[in-house]
Amino acid sequence: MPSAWLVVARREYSEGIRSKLFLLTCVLGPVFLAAIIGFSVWAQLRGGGKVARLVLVDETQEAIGKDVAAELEAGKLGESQRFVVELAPAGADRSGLARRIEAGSLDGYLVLPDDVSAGGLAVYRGTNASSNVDMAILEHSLRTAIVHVRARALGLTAAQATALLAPVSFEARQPSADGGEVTGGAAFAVAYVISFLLYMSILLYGVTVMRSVVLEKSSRVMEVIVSCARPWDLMLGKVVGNGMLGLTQLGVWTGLAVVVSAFKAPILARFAGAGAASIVVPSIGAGQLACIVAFFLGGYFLYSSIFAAIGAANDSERDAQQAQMPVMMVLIVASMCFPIISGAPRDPLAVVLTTIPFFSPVLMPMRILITPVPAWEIALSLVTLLATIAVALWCAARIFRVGILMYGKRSTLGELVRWVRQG
Amino acid sequence: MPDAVVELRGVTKRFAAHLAVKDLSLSVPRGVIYGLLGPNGAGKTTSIRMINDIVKPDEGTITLFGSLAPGRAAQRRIGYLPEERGLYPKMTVRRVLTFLAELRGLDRTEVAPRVMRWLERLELGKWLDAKVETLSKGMQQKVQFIATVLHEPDLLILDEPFSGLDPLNADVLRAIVLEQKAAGRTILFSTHLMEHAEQLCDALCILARSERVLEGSLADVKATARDARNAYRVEIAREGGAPPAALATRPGMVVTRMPGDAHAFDVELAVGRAAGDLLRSLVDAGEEIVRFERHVPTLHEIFVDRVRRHGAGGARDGTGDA
Repeated sequence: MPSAWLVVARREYSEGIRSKLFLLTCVLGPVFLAAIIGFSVWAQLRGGGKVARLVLVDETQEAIGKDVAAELEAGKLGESQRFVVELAPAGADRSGLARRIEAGSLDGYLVLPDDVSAGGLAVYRGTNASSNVDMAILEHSLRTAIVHVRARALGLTAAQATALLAPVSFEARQPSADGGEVTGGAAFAVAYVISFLLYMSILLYGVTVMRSVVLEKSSRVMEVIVSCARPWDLMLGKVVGNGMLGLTQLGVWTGLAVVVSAFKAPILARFAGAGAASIVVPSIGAGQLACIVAFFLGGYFLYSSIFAAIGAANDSERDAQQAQMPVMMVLIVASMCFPIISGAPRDPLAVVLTTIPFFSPVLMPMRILITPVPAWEIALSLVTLLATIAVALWCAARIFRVGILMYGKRSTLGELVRWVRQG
Repeated sequence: MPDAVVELRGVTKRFAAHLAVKDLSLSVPRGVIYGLLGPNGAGKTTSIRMINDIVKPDEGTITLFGSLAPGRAAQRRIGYLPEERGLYPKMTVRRVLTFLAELRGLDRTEVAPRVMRWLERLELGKWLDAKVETLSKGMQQKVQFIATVLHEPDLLILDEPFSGLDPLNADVLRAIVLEQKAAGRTILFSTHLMEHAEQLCDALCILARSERVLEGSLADVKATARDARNAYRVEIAREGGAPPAALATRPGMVVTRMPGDAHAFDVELAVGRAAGDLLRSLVDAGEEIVRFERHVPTLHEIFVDRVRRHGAGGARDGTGDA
């Protein structure tokens, strides 16, 4: 005869896996993520997609303007020309230019001060000033033209100047767990994506536990359930059942990732151009995978027990959603630490952050994926996490036991503390 | 009582400042229908929750089935229909019934045929795989009854079972209760509606203001109440006019005419005074007697009388029918 918590867990799992939400997140999760990444890359590259018209107000003695204009008009992105340049003399009417920008017949104007080659500030004013791509091309063109002017002043020939400016090839690679090496950017991207998925999953399934408790209260099924299962069995069953659901979800996503990575070369070539063939996507080792799963489960148990207590202390979904905000903030703060970890994964700050139990479930997997982490640090982080889970489960069970039969009013924090102390 | 299915001894339960149940002792014999009666807030639901191990008593002991304390082992032998009823709206009838039966310790393979049999019997067969939320309220109530009896419990505990039921479902439930009794099971139910109690109960306990005011078999309770008064119902056949002289109020005898019936009278004799004298005087006066009987108070009258005497006539509303 199965224990009560197992029966509850089985119900949570089998109802959850039939729900539309599960199907949607399984399929749409990766699609959504890929769409976000793809769209932001595409939007960056496209940068408005049209040719920008700009006026170059040339105040220099040497008439550097026409060199800059030539560089700008030669500057291309892919197949398309980005700029059409119109030269204007030093005394050009600025307010007239501003009016043209306003009227839409001009995108912006660049003023080259007389001392620009000696370090004077060239200012661009325009509606596309926030376009990274446009501004990068603009700055690059300006730099190239001015370096040529400076080279001429030093008596170099054009060929010598070009040779001086020849690009330097550089690529960052990182040793990977399997003894090979991966492209730095790719390691970063994979770590980011996985940490983000962990963050989403912990939040999603933690909130699912909370909603499941609130539903049992609001549909009044709770009284029958607690007449045949201890509150602890009920809570444990809910946490375990939904945790298995979350693992299933991660399993489906991993499966999709394996399928996709089997076709990684043609996909990369199709979307990122021929140059992308050199990108080495990291493969995740068994040890890393075990760590990711361990931290996911730990984080999920920690947060879902808190969410279960919140659900028990409220009897409407709206109240529960308000009460969950502080807990969600903690997770959001954790996700805001992603750049700290990816920027300096071996820094003491990263070590501390990945040991804090409320942060480690999403931050430690990221660190593990980016850099080799000493075993003792992983162990310390896991032990801290487990200890916190034990405390959280204990407190949550006490709140749960009292809260599930409380109706009609929202419980204050003070009451929750009292429930925990009275037990 | 050795064969008690439920036995409470000196049970007390407090919630914060509120005393929900005070020093309650009662005993539910095997195989009977036992009514826990009382106005709202008297402590009925709290008592039932303690028997179900949903809340723990502060003082006193509860013994179930002769030897068990409230808990998992006892719960498997109890079918509980709470006052606040509900099912998972998104689950199908089959799955929700299977789940609840499994929680009570039934094996999944045993559940399926029983579910089918009960659904057929209550004319819900074709709703087996329908979601609960698509069922009417009356059908959901029937599913709830099934959930209560599916694991064939030895003890049924029904908290205000008839509240919110339409007359048809009330009959269905009454039939199930009587059938369960016939099968040798014990039924404990709470109500504040005395008509239901009078129709069903073999034994009862009246609670008021968290305390027991009366316990015993329905027959004993009624006999005691009957014997406490020397009252008679008298009906005579007579064409109009004033009441006969033999039925005039006098010292040691109070007569009230039954409202709406000119020929029926309530006669309250002083205790110790023989009814034979009254009967003889009616016969001597040449009255044709249609009815002359000892008045047995209804459970409703007994209840109102006892609860009033206990001083809880205006029951506090409440911090719940806790």
